Amino acid sequence: MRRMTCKKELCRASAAKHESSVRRQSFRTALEALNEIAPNGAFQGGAVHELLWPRQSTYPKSLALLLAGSAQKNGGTIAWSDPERELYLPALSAAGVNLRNLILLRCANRADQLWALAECLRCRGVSATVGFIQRLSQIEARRLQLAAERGGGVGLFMRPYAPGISNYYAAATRWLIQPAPGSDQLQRWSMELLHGHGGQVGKALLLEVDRETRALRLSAPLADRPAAPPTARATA
Amino acid sequence: MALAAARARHTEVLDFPATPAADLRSLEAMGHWLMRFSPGVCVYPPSSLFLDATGLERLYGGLENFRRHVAQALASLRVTAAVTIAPTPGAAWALAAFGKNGSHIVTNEQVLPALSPLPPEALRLDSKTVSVLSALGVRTIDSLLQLSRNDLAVRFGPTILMRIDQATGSVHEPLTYLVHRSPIRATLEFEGAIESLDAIHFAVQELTRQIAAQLTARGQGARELRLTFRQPYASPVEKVIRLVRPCRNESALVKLICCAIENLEASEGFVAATLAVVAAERLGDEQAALIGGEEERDAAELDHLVERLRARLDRGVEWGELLESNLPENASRCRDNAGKADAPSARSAVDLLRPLRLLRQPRSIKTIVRPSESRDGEPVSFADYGEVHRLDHIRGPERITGQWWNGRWKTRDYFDVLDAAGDRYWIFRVPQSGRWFLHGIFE
Repeated sequence: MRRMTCKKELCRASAAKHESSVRRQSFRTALEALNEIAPNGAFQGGAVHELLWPRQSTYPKSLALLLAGSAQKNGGTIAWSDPERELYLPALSAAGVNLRNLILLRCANRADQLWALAECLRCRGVSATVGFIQRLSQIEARRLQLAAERGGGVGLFMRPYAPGISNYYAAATRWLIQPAPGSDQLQRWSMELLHGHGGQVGKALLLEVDRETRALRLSAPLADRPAAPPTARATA
Repeated sequence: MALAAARARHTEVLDFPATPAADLRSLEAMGHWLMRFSPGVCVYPPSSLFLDATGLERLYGGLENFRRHVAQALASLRVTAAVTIAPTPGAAWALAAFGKNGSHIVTNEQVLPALSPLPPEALRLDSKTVSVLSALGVRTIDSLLQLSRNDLAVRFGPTILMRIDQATGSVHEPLTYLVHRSPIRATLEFEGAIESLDAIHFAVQELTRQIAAQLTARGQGARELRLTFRQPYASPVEKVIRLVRPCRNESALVKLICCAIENLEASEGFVAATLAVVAAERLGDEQAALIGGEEERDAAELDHLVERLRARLDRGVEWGELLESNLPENASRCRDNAGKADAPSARSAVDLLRPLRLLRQPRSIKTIVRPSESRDGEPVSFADYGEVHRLDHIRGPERITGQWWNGRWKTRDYFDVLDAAGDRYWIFRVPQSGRWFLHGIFE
């Protein structure tokens, strides 16, 4: 009798576990148009997503932060690999990240960084792992993807968009992000889905962020866009 | 006397807040240290320690030598202490606290004569009893002993009789001795220098097994481990492994240590390995979280992750913390443990205007400025590493001034600029020198 109850509880526990893994399957961002482009209308959890960026020395951190924030369940932890120590924490905190739930990784070399990223991805307590990765071999890319599947969190890797550097990947989606000319009030990026089974590959979006409030939104189509306010700058 | 009055009388008065808990901790630490003289040490707060001197004459060649050893050791620690030896703890305390210098060692026959001239406080009575006794004119223990025992018990309760009996030795006084803490450590010496990873892993497993057994016996879990590898012709290699929560699980510890020794460097192999527990904490038997408690399991897994990362990356795992400072580079700092939950700050409105990436050192850039009469024109373009950015949209300036005690040119005028390609930068000018710097990038 005792064994029976124990077994029943075990069954319930495994059912709960299954349910939780289902719950982690995917997440949606606040931008509905972005979700629609992504495969099956959402970003897959337990997978790696790559953000490709054409510049050499900068990274699309704002968009990585958007995705990491959406992937983070309430109270989930974000692991951010920042070897240069250049991530500005007050800005991150103002964007709504609780610094208590942010682990900063400062790896001295590439081997350590890949190991640490894989460890974070493999951990169930980490919702999103963010990092900048240059080159990946096929095996390393696959290893990171498998680690994400085991942990259920999301890997968000910013990679340079250059032939020969980011050839190998095992990511669920790859996004090409490019800066677009902005305005006095707005900073803009275009975001295009390069790879993603079931997604609208090749479709691009124009995203913009308000320079005062840092509100990230979809750029209105050109025809419906409100007229730009006259520049208040006084020419001295 | 109030503190102000005391200061007025003696200008050299130093005052510190009372810290009874910390005092007790350091008294206990001293008790552990004094275990080198006697195996039985008892802490008697607020400021006394009892050492069991039974049977130590043979070891030290007489009680006088023993007393001298202890007194000299305390003096070398710059601790002012009165050390007396008596047949009972009560008598020893009375003589140490109130005895005039002279009789440091009292034998059984000398107890009563030695105690007689001392005031009744020496019997460890509470202050109320002492004040009533002094009001009654009882100034010495001698006169106290003249009184009838029955009257004393009726007037002051049973405690006073117990204290008298404890001092004279009619009643045994039980002491609670400190428990001896031997360090938990295990050492393995190899016959020759070993280099192979397999052998090192075997050694780690063996050491961890011994450590785990010792921890289990004490009901403790390790919080910090130190692994030392001795090399034949070089200084030892040391690895410190810190754990987030106490642990004595053998396989978990082995995994953690293997993470830590992953990038171990040895030119000629190792001749010995030592694993020591630096800090341990009480740990109950762990229950495997089999049913429910997913959050708890996630938290435990996160703790294990942090331990593994720390073991391999050492200081490479950090948490951020906001500070109150208007200088952008001083507004946060990193620490190697998770801090308290950060309170929502009033500065977050300003922080919205800050870039996500702040260069560690502002980088000097060459900037072309719109012509103006004074030197505060807006930037038109700047060149960074030979790359020219033509600036389309400029916001600013936002003036930030550094601390007045720091440096000469501390005023900066920040501009938030967007170049023609759509990249956004945070640059500033030092008005005094007219030089421009790139400080952040809105990525």
